[in-house]
Amino acid sequence: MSAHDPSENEQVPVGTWVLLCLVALGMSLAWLFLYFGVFLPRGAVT
Amino acid sequence: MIDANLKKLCLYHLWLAFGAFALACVFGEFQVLERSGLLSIIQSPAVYFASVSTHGVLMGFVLTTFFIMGFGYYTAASSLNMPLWNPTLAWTSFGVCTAGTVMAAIPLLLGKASVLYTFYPPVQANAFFYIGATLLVVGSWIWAAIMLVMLVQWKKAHPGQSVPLPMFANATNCVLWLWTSVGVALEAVFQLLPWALGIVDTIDVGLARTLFAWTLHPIVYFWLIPAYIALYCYVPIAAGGKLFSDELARLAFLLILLFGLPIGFHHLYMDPEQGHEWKLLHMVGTFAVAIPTLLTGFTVVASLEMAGRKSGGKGLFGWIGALPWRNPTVLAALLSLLMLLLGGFGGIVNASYAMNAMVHNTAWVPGHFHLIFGGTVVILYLAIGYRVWPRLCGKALYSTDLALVQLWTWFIGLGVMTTPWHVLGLLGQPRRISSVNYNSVLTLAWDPYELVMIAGGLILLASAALYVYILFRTQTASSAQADAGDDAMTMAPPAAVPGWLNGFLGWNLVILALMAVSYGYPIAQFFLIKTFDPTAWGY
Repeated sequence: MSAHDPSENEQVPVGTWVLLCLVALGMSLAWLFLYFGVFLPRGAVT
Repeated sequence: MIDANLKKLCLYHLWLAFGAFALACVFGEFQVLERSGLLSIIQSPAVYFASVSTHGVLMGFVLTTFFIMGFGYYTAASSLNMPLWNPTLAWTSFGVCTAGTVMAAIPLLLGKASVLYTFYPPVQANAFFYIGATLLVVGSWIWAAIMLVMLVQWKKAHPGQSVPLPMFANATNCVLWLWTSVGVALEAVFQLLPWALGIVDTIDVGLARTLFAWTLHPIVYFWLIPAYIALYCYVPIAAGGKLFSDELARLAFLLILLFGLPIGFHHLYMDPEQGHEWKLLHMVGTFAVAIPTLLTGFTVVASLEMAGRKSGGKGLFGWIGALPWRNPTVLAALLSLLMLLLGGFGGIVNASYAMNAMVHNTAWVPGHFHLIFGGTVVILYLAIGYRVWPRLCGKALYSTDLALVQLWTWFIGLGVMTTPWHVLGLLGQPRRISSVNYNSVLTLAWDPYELVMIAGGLILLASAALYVYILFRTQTASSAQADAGDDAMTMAPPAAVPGWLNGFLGWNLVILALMAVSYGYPIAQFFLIKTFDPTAWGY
């Protein structure tokens, strides 16, 4: 197989896109949980 | 083109790196034991801080610098297919770095440099520590110069051709390191050394911390780029595929260079010497680093997906199971990406200006740091070692099965050790303390987590010992294997890439502008604002 096989270049890495979207969603939710669920309830530093 | 002398040079660097790594793991296990307070016989703040300083220096400066240099020589000679430029100078660089390491190690081991690996003043070390650290940096500058000379020579001999990706990344790291190390070099030469030698009585701690911040964050990318070289250049081939996009990889390295440098102030969020607006600016830059990180994640995972599908993987995620998990390079990459994911989330929390206050001086920070450093960076250093050792020694890898066990145990050990560390941080356990045994109801609740961390440290120590054993048995095996040849690393690179993806001259001007914006006034203020000191450096 050559380094620039057209059939390979036409492949769209769908799994990768979905995986990265899931990761981004997970990170966003985890950040929101820490911010609203842990950080803000602790209140201001006194 | 790797001749016998270059193989020897690489092996000297890599053995010193991994020797430091193994020794640092011993110190690390002592530290989790001592800090827990569960063994009163070993309780000693003085020994603890000497140990944690030595551990940090061995891991953060010795392992990394020697590994990056040794692997850099290997990468340049193999990917450019040319002999090493000026081997005598390269050995001189090794000698300077080794002398510096020994010079710094003596006060460290004697407890005269218990200043942690960040050596923030006003904690002061013996002058030999600063001189040794400076020599290590100077030696690495020689290495960077050799790498850049080889790049220029190759480009002259191959006009119009694209620099092979491994060397492009290697050269990016050299440029990044030369910029990165200026901050700590200024701090060492103008502040720490005169202060430690008694030439000045005191120094401006704010300026020192600002200069160190210049170095402290980009140094992480200096450590990370060799790991990225493995991800981009070794992993796709090891998985049975090819790199998804050479151009995207180059773009990611350039963006790391541009975004990674002017962002050190997220380490100073809680410091008073810099204004909020500057910290906010650096926070924006810190989040911008997510772009090359995502580019890397996408390109590497897409390469793996292509390889997995080629091996018969079906469906949305079936390709993951079809990957060759029993290949040490692939396994290390998958585990590294997983830990980058978790550690990256911790980094986002750290970089969030407001939320940083919640975790800044807590055990969360070393937990995050160990997960990123040990998890993302070091595991790929280990995998690179497994790949290059047979090529450097002309021997087959001692045992692939043992290598897989070693990588899994490293991954498990890091998970077991750093998860409770993060939890303890959220529970409020401070960092940079030698004991957590205050015998109060609050701190007694920390004990179970400490026990788990001790177990994690033991797993990591065993894994490190196994790694050194595998390398040793590989090198000392009696039977030679057929020469695996130079490691070309990538399949055929594109015939030509745009000029802006093939060199660094113009980018240095962009970096200069970004650094002037990010650090110009924050440093100048120490000289502009009237203080009671005769000079901003100290008096």
